[in-house]
Amino acid sequence: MTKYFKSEVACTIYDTLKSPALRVMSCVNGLDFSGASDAHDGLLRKLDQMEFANKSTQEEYLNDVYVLKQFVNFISFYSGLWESVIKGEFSESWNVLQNALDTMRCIKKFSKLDLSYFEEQLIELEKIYPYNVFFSIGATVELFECSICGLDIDSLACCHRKGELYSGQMAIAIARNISQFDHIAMVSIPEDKRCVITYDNESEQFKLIRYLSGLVKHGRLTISDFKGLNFSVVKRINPDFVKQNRNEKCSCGSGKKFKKCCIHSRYIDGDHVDIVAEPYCVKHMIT
Amino acid sequence: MANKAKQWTRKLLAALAKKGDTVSILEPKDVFELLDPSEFLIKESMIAGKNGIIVVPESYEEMDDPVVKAGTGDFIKWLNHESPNIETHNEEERTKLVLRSGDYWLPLVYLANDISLPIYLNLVASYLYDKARGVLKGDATRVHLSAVYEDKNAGKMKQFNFEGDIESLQKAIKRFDLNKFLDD
Repeated sequence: MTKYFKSEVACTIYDTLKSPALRVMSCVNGLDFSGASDAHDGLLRKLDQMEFANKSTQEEYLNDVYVLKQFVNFISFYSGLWESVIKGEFSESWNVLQNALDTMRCIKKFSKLDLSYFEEQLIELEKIYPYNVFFSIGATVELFECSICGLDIDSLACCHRKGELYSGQMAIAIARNISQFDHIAMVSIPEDKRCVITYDNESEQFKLIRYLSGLVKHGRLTISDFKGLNFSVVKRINPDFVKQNRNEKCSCGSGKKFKKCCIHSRYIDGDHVDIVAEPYCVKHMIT
Repeated sequence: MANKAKQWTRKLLAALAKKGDTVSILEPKDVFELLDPSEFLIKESMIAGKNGIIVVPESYEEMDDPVVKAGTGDFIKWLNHESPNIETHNEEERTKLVLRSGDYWLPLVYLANDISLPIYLNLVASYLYDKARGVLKGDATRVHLSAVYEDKNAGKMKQFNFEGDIESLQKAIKRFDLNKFLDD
């Protein structure tokens, strides 16, 4: 039995979830998203049954169940992400990708579940999107209420800390009385990467993810084999280059002779990205 | 790809700037500095007779009353839980300043005589490691902190400001020469 959780019961439940979870992954890899949805429903039912059969009220068990639910959510986000990518819904897929990454952070924080395959793949996938500047608000808030006890979460009277688990519930700080919204900052490290300038799905900005989508859709790359990206700079032919005699006036309009001006601009540097593939067996995705 | 995105963003910024608004992209940069704090920053009544770590509310924009950073309460709770022998003082009812970047914004604190700056920095590093549970590869965990303490030798207050990631903070702690610091 795998010891990814603190409670033995949660470890047993996880072991029974692995097989239906792998079924979802198999469907996703075969681009059968309807089948993936059905398989995910089966996964959800399995978790409900197991949870119903174990009525423990132990703190550790309840926290582990919270993580197991996040695991089931993650499988759904992963499937939804690739479905959006294949359908060309790139703008929407960015948000689903962020959901998947946030869920993975939660799983990693509260368990020893090994999702390293997904972590590496999705972090690489994130680089394919055209977002590197994000929006972030500045505001003043009178009070943050604890989602569990309703007290001021910043006070010592409340025994919960934001983002921690308590008997299967996550303590959330709910902003009450926002007194002032005073700025929006553009940052490279945001709290929420969903706060971006959105682009149309047909826009040039999604050229790279569109290319990846095409590769997968046309069977030239399977999802499980997508490993990452390799960025480099390559020389390419300059489309504006005009071959002239060395002593002629340069056609660029600088007034200089060609030999003193654009003679060396036949090739220019261009960004190049290789999509790196590595065969990976679906059954190893979830261990 | 990344360069193109930057170019588009700069075009957007230029367009916004034409409208008369001030805009800039906040790029993370490391800060490690020791300053003489403003004499009005710490009121005697705020620290008199207190030990440990005292949160100092800060003035912000046009707010009438000083505010504290939104992460203050969490940090103080963590300190009380992890180091219950250290006294902490925080006015819980203060308005909170929320800066929703991915960085951790710790409160401006005054360190009483029983807490040295290296001890405080080690506590902050432990807090950050705790907060960093669950981060993914490539996630940046950055912190902004300011601490004021009284340099007994010089008979005046000093303010230490730091912005950077956990690794930089650890390096700063290792580099820190307390005696030299007190001699400054």
